[in-house]
Amino acid sequence: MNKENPKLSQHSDEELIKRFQEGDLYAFDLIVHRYKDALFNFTYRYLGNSQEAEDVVQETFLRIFRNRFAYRQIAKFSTWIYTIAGNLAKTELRKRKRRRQVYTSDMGFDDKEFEIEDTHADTEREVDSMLTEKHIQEAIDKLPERFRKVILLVDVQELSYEEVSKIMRVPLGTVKSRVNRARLKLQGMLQELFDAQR
Amino acid sequence: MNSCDRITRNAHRYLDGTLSPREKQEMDAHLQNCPRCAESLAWARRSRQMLHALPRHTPSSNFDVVLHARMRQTAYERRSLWPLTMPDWLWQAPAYGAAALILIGAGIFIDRQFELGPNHPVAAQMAVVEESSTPARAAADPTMAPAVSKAPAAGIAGERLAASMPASPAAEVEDLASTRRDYTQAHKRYVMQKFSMQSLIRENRKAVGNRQAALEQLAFDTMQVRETTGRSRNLPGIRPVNASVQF
Repeated sequence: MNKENPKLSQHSDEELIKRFQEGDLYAFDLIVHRYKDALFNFTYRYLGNSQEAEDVVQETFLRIFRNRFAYRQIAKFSTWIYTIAGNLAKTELRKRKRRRQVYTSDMGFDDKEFEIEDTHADTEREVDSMLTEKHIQEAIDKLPERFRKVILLVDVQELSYEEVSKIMRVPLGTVKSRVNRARLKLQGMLQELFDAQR
Repeated sequence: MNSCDRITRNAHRYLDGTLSPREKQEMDAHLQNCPRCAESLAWARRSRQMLHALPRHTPSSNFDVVLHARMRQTAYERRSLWPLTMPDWLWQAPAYGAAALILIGAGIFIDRQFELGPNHPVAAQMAVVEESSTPARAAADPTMAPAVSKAPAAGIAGERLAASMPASPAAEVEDLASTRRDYTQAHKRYVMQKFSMQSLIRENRKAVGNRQAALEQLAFDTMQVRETTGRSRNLPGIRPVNASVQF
């Protein structure tokens, strides 16, 4: 990795990707540095698994590395990168469903010890007085995919409705309606969990 | 929809501050008199706080190392497997070029095979026929004289008959020889097409073989990268169920 260049680090995402398109690899490193945590947090919350989330983020950056010239400065760079990551995460979710369908019937009791544990995240951290991160993640996992994505982008990643509308390629009104429904569903599930904990 | 349902539905819009002044006023009034809706609103606020309070997870410490290794791998693939990454038409061009060269070579070879030497029995027979059909020989041999010349040249019907019939046995022989040449040419074309198809099939098989070998090499290289980076899991697309499987 190159030495930190203060001038370059002040550039906007769009300027960095332009420099990367011109062959400046350090600009790409800066993009990775800016987005890796945010993208990982988003995909981790979306998939609920850190290994899969890391794979998706790696693949997102590799796609950008390979297809750098596909980016045109008509859209925000963050919209483009979140669209790629979101699509890859969705594909990963589908793959996981297929794997589950295949393996659950094949896997005997003895095989289960070989499953790789997700030890990366400490999900027992308390978020509320009664509910831990694990409880909230379980509630997020139960949300339908279209609600999960939108609530994560708006309430966890704190992106604007307009940007989420572009990322998900749905009208602004649909985003607002989905966010509202997702929040109400999540609220209901958390209330039930809270009552069960008492 | 009763007013409690409407309050529940609008709870998050209330928190966002996106209700109209009239809706907000109605909601405030309702909340003061309805403890159930007040509790629901408190839960809406609390669930949002919980989402915001979720800890931010970060990728593993070797994320950059693995990413750079995979970027190098991508660059290497692009160099070493460039026939796989270039457009199809460009990838097929050498195969078609080679096929065209083979066709030209095969054409020349076949052409030479069909050339009849002076000692060839067919060539000898052709020579005899050609010799007998020359005018000098025809004049000397009365049996070879033109049949039409003996016929009375009377009227248009006679001329037409003469035109439709072979002028002489020599012309008939020439006609047969021409037909034979046509057949020979057609056979040549058939053999050349057969050769071209066979060579194209061979070239395509070879190209498919090369592509397969390149893909195997890529799979092997990917496994090597995984080992060197010390990751305990596979890259996307290669995912064993059983962790005891070692490469």
